[in-house]
Amino acid sequence: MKYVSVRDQVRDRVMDQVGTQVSAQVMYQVRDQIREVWAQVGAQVWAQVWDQVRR
Amino acid sequence: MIKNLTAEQEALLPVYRDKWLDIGLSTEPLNFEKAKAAVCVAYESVGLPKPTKFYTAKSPVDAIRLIKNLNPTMETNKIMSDMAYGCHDANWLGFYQYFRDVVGIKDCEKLNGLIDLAHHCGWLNMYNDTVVFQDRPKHIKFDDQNRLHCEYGPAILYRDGYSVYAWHGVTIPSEWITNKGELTAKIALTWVNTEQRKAACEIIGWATVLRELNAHTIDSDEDPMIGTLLEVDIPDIGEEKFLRVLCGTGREFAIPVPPNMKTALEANAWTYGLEGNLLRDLEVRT
Repeated sequence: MKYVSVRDQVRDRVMDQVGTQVSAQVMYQVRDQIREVWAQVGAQVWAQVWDQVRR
Repeated sequence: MIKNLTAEQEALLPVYRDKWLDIGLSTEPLNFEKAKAAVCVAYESVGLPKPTKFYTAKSPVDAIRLIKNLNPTMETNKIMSDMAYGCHDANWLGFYQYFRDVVGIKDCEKLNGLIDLAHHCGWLNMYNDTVVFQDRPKHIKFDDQNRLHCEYGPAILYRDGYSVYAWHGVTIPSEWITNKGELTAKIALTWVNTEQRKAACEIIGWATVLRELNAHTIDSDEDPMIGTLLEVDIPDIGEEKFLRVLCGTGREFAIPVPPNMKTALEANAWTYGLEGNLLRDLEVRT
């Protein structure tokens, strides 16, 4: 069983392509709105599950 | 080059934020068939052959056990570092779905499989021919500030019983909730982790803890509903002030108050967002 990272293969490429089509200002504007999802979903919930499983 | 979003596009930003919050915090059971179809699209998007073996786990620990059964040489840390995608990747997938659907950037379609996958399962482990999907939690509970919290059970509960107990955003040992009677002020005050120590004191009740700490009285109001301002030296935390007060039902409470409070009246008024004299005036009028 060999790990495959679909995310690593796709995400950077897509980010580069988005970056050539929209300004940095627009990217930051969208990122700042969606960042709240990370604050509540990622940093809050899943980080705690992760920490507990790791222990 | 798109330099600005239109008003219509801007109006959709909070819609996408809320939509992806719902996806990230979904407690719907794993949808195995839809997750399987989405993961095949994800593999194809990077030119990998579709996986042929699919397994389901009810929680992260169940996934670790299952993967170790499939490959006994795989270590726990490695399995955990390979866990990704699904609803847990809501933050960055939401970002690209917005650009795909609202701004019309076609290149984001390469993420279609992963975006779809986030709607149907929790974490997953992707291997060259094998995928292990995890179910999402059965429930996730928060306090009024959106911190993980549950006073009477687990804050996160998976369908196999795996759980995380939390108190206002701090992970705590399960027995502090399941066996509250065994949690004493002594255990709380000598607990090494200071955030957990504070949580333990709140679970027991500060009034109980203060009695054991020999709190020093700074000011006592003649009205027990105004209460007594106390100062206490909490090990490793330092000096803290509390207002010990009787509520309308006769129960005693101890409320943490800011260190600059000098009188019980001032501290009591602070709990209402008022100044001390104003609180006394309000009491006289009623």
